[in-house]
Amino acid sequence: MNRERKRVRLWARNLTVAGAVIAAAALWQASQGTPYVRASGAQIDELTSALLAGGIIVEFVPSDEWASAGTDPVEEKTAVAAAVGQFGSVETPVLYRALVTAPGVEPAISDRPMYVIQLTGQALIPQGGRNVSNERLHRELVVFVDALSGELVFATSIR
Amino acid sequence: MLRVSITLILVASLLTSTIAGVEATGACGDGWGSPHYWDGTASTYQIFAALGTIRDRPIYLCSETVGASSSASAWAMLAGSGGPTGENQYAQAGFLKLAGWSSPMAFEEYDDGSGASPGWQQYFFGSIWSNGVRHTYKVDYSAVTGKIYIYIDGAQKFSPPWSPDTAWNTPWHAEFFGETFDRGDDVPGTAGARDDFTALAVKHCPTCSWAPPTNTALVSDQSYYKNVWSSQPTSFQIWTQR
Repeated sequence: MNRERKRVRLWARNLTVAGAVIAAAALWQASQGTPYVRASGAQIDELTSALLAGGIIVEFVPSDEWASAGTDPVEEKTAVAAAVGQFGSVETPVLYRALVTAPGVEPAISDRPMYVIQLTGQALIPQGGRNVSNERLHRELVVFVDALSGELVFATSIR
Repeated sequence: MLRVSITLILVASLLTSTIAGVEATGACGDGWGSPHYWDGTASTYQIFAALGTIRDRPIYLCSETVGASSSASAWAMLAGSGGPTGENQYAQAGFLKLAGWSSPMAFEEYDDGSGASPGWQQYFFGSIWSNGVRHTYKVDYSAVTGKIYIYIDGAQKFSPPWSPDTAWNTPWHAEFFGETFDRGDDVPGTAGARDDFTALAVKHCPTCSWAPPTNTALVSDQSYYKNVWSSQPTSFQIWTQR
């Protein structure tokens, strides 16, 4: 009988420990914000070309050069949270840092340090277009977040 | 006593709902491949610019799942009269919300008829939409450059990289509409807080002054997408009431 009680007590203690570990992991994950990955070189090349076709000039800034560009950026996870908080996210967001220029756009966007965040899994339904098929929809959104203020400046559909 | 209290609570709740004009969102049912649904007016023909002020209102959608076929918007538009997939020649600005977004956003969108980037493009702008605030949207063609320029509250936004001179069929016209992609979605505005389109104007030639829209009639393709002229033909209201 005593042995049975001990076994039950041991189980209960193990369960408590496991619960505490799970809770701690959940808290840690929440403090880290939405998981994201930094863009690879190929992803950056592809994205900058696509944006250039739409009239947006983005110049990639390597992480170690960010400080020397005279900026004091908000944390990456803050920028990702701004993008995901507004648009939602189906897959892991991809992030890179850039100096962004958008000719003719007001307020002026000229060599502005921004986090560029790709969100996939959207359904960017044309508001003016007709006969929209599921296959034709753009699914990828590129979000531009001001690196200094964390403000979501604009976003555009790519593909 | 208890029955009286419950009745009073129900009546108060009903009155509050009516006064506040809470959303009337229906069930999603259309899915992909459905047309859009309309509530507003158009100005014909030949038009070279569209101008209007639209009040920001919350947008209620039948689905809030990211990637779902649900959306609603309100906008001013300049449009051509053809395209390979129907009526896909346009430039517009207004506000919208897609499924899963936390709030509506100001937007612009244009299409040269190709339906593909960079001829077709959408831009969404932060820090503009605010419930109850009016914003002015302008889509303006320049005969000097042959390009279209899009403005929100007087600030220039992204211009199409193409010229409608070669991309669009003539004649062109102006449109001012609230729109949904699923009949379960609500056009902006509720019975208690309608959406206002005001100061509507068009240009009949590229260098003409702004003038009231012509040949206008309010149209809606669903009985629960309501509309009424405030001052025909320059101001009207839309809302959803199921």
